[in-house]
Amino acid sequence: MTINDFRNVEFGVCFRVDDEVCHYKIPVDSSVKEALVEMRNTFTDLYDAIDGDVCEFEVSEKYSSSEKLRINLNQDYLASINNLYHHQNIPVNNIDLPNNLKHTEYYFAEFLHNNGSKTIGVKRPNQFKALLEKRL
Amino acid sequence: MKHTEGLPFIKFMMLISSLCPLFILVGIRGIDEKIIAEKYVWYIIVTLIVIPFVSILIRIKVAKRNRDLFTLNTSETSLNKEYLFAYLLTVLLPLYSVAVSGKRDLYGILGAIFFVIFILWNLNMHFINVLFAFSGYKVYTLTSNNAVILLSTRQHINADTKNIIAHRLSNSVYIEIKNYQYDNK
Repeated sequence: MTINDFRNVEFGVCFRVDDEVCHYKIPVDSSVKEALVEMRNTFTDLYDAIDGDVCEFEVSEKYSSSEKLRINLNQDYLASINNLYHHQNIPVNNIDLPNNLKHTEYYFAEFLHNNGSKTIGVKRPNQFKALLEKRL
Repeated sequence: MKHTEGLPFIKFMMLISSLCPLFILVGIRGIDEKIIAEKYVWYIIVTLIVIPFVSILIRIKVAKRNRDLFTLNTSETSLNKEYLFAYLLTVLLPLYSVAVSGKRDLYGILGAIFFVIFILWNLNMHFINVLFAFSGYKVYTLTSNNAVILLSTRQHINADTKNIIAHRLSNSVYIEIKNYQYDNK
């Protein structure tokens, strides 16, 4: 899929400050949006390449690094992601990301499909933090 | 975490642009020739109208080039007709009635304009643009949990409209540009 296959692609970050979670969308240019679509493609290719059926995720289970799993968002520990999916009009904020790295919980991309449905991709910020720290 | 409006220059230009009817009215009423010559008054007024408007047009062009698009949920919206009325009563009419016949009057009106800009800036009321209004743009307020989002659009938003993709002018002001293929379904 290319960026033209989506009505819109947006980038955002989730911060946790003093146990308070807040989501912000960050304005990005086309090159970043294309990179996000590329990341999405890589994920779906890897996910589809894994053999076997999709299994329900269990916290108590031990999994290998790549497995086909799914989970219902109505779990207490997924409240932040559940809120993210249902939160309308997430505020756009020009945040100084390098100075707020320690508060970064995860980053996300919202893909609005041509049929009106949306997909949200969430990623832990380890690589993201490393990249930003390199630039500091 | 501090929420920033972003693009302060464009916000300022939008504010100045929102005052352009006042500048025109001040120009029509005129200022005493002893204070500023008529032609200079009009040079200043044209500059105050053209520069902000051109800046906004450049911002729109940059937003189009960068695909600075955001999806806005329009399930809870309200049309801001009353803002135009409030603007007319609180800004245009009181300032228009001031006759500038001396230096003190001039400083007075400049001070009043400064305070109006200061208040509108802090209230984030920089979205009133008469030039856009003449082109058929209406301003809607969209409900958001953390901030007020304003959408300037030529289309009528009804109950069937769920999402609208629009260009970002600033972090709280968005515009649906005329003749742009948004794919808003």
